[in-house]
Amino acid sequence: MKVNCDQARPRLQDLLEGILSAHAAAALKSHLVSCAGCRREKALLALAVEGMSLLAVRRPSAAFDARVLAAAAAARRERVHPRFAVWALDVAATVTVLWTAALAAFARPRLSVSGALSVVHALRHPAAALSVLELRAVEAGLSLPEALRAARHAAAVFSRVHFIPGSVLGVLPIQCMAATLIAGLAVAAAARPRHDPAVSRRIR
Amino acid sequence: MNDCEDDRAAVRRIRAGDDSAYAELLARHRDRVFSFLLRLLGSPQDAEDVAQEAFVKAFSRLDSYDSARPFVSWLFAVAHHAALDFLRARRPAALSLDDPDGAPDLADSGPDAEAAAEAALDGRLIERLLAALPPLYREPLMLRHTQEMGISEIARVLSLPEGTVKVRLFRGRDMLKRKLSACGFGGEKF
Ligand SMILES: [Zn+2]
Repeated sequence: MKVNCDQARPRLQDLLEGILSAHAAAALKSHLVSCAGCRREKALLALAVEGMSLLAVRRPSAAFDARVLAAAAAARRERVHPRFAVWALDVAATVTVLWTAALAAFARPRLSVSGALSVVHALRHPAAALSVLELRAVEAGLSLPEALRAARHAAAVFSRVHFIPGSVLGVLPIQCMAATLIAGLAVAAAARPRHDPAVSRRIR
Repeated sequence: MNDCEDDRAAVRRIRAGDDSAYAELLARHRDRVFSFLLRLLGSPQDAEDVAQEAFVKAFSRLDSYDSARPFVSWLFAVAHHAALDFLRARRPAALSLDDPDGAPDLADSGPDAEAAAEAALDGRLIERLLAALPPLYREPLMLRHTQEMGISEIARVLSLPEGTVKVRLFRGRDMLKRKLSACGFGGEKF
């Protein structure tokens, strides 16, 4: 196979790295024998690559390690507070779910089928869900973006609430979901900056 | 690679609650991350700030590190994104690292009087020539030829398709070649 310069140049690096097939390498080498221009390109390429291996390793200032480790430790300490927030959301979600279960079983008026369906509808249709959330958010004293963040967080927590018997979840999935969202909003509202900046930062 | 195994062991220790392993990871990777960022950003102070940001971010997000992959390429991905954030915030006018492939600055390959005075290929000369390349090309070149990463690894670090990485490496090496040639290399002895 004959190789011209335009075909040869893009393959020179592959030749230097030894990753061409034997056939392609042989064709390229035979071109190099007869082409001074490509030989020069290959030599320059080898020089450029060799040059980069000569680059010295540079070191940051002596205080760098201490500064990084201190900043990393501070970041870790901050992460302890969100654990409390998550724990609080867990507990709130559980209590609310159990409360909703009790309400559904004993209270009057019971959560109607149409009420449950409207929640399903809200969950399926984001625009409707937004208006439901917005209402709850105003009640909880949150802005809509805050409410959405809190709801997302609550939904994540909901999926982690593994100590509720499956049968309860099976009986009351919609109510549980709705209750968890509301609980998430309430706790998010309770954890606003005036209480603990670290917690609210996590929730936002 | 031995470092690779040591990194995984250190990450396991951190996950098990041993905070002393942070210092070990930092000591093993500090210089290469700093060197990379220094050549990318040009200023030692900026490089230190961004390196610190990268390590703190990496250390606080270790749970998102997949230990099936080399720790070092994950760390470089974090450093790359930290540099990107830094450039966007502080130097919006500077050439972004993820600009779509624009016209490479091939015109800048005329003789460089100062560089031509250097007779021998050494690290300082390459340092200067490399610094004159657009960051877009400098970054993959460093990952390939000073960090010895493969194409697919670089593609993951930079969040780019492999084809784009190959193109940038080719153009970057081509620019470096031209600069070497302008410095008098590749003369009659070839
Ligand atoms: Zn040729």
